[in-house]
Amino acid sequence: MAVTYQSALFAQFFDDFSQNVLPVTPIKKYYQIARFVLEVSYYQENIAFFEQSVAHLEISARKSDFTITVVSESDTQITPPNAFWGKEAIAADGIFSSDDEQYVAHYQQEYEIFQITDCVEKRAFYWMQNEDQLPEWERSFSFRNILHHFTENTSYCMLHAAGLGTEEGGVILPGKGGSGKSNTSLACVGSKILYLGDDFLLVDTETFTAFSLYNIAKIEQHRLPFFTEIENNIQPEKLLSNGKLPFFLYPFFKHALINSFPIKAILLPQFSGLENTTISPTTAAESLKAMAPSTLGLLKASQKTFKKMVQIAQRLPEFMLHTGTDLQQIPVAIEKLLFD
Amino acid sequence: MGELFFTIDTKNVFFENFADENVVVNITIGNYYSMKGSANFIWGLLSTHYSQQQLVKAMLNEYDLARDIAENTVSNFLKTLQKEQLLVSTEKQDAEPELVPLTTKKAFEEPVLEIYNDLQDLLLLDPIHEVDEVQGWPTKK
Repeated sequence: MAVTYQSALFAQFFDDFSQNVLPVTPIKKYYQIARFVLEVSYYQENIAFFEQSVAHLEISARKSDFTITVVSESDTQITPPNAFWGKEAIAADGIFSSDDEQYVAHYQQEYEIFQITDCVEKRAFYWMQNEDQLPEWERSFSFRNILHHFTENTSYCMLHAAGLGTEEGGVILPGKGGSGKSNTSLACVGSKILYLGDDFLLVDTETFTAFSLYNIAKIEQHRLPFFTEIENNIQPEKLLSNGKLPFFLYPFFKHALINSFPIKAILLPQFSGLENTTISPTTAAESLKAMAPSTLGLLKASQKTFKKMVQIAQRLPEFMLHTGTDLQQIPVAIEKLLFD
Repeated sequence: MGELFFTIDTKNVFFENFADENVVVNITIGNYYSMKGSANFIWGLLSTHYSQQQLVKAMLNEYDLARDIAENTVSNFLKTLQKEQLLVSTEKQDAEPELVPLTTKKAFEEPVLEIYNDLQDLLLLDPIHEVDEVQGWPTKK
């Protein structure tokens, strides 16, 4: 690949950032993300902030495929290098990409977060002024935009969807917030159907295997009493502005988690208001409508990701999951679909 | 101004054609769409440049319908697509599309365009605010 003036400036920016962090010793952690090993160097005191949502994927130290350097300025006094770009280079969504698409910089002024990713060398910096200012989704879905950039040019597709199943096979449940993904997922905790994720997962579009990313779950506060095992054993985090209580299933519910499964079907959840849970066929178009807009919006993803979602919708059988008020029927209905 | 030729804004509009439905996502304004009936036929033509008159001709070739209905249908549908910022236009066309006359025309189906705006907030998330005018990056406070 030809080195352009702009890509040389980006490379220099990475070198300078690497120099800036040298005086501080990081805490290093490794995670198995699908077939990739992610190495994270935390230049931050409270590493639990990002760690908790991916703690179930932690592995021992080894050669990594992806590296992320996390820097809290308030903890370390480390600052990013001066930008070589001006305001006019930044798109309306806060993103600045190099002409060759190797580098993507994303600045969120409201929270004082700056992320820069080298999509070819698979390295990234995540800088924040102070973690206390970060929005909850940065904690719930650690490094989601960086992981999306790392995988966008591979056969993997990060998807806004829940995942439920067993080692023999599972279902993915795409859908915008409020579609019933969380209630469906939590209804399966304690059943034979294991929990791969509630909001984001990774799908290999060559093998149609789903991989876990985050062990966070969320539930509306008023519905917590319906899930007694969870209510009795989990310490919820701070209530979110949307009325949901987030909590981490790992480590207490580690037996209820699964890290990957072959995908057998796409399920589109919809609360029926009736007692029973039923399943009926739907179309690939409905599937794409459920998964594409929110995935594209949350990840600021490109045409490449859209095409991968088309592949997923076209390849897998799809069904509506009409969830009922008797929550115990939900895992039974999924198990029946998967294995009967 | 000369005749305008329209095509899909493929830089900002992602779409896929399924058996009887097109699913379209517009990342510029944050809406997504379902197209059915003759909307699918017109949308398919717009993968290359077509003028309004050429679309009318193609509709008359494809469907069994009166010219005035074809003209109204194309005119209204194009206006909606433009309002939704799904198209770009030019005054030049590489080559006029060829029509193969059909022996049996299809029964006309109204173009159906369902517009979903419930995820606008997500698709348009994180607008940039108050970035330093000079550096494009915040300076130390």
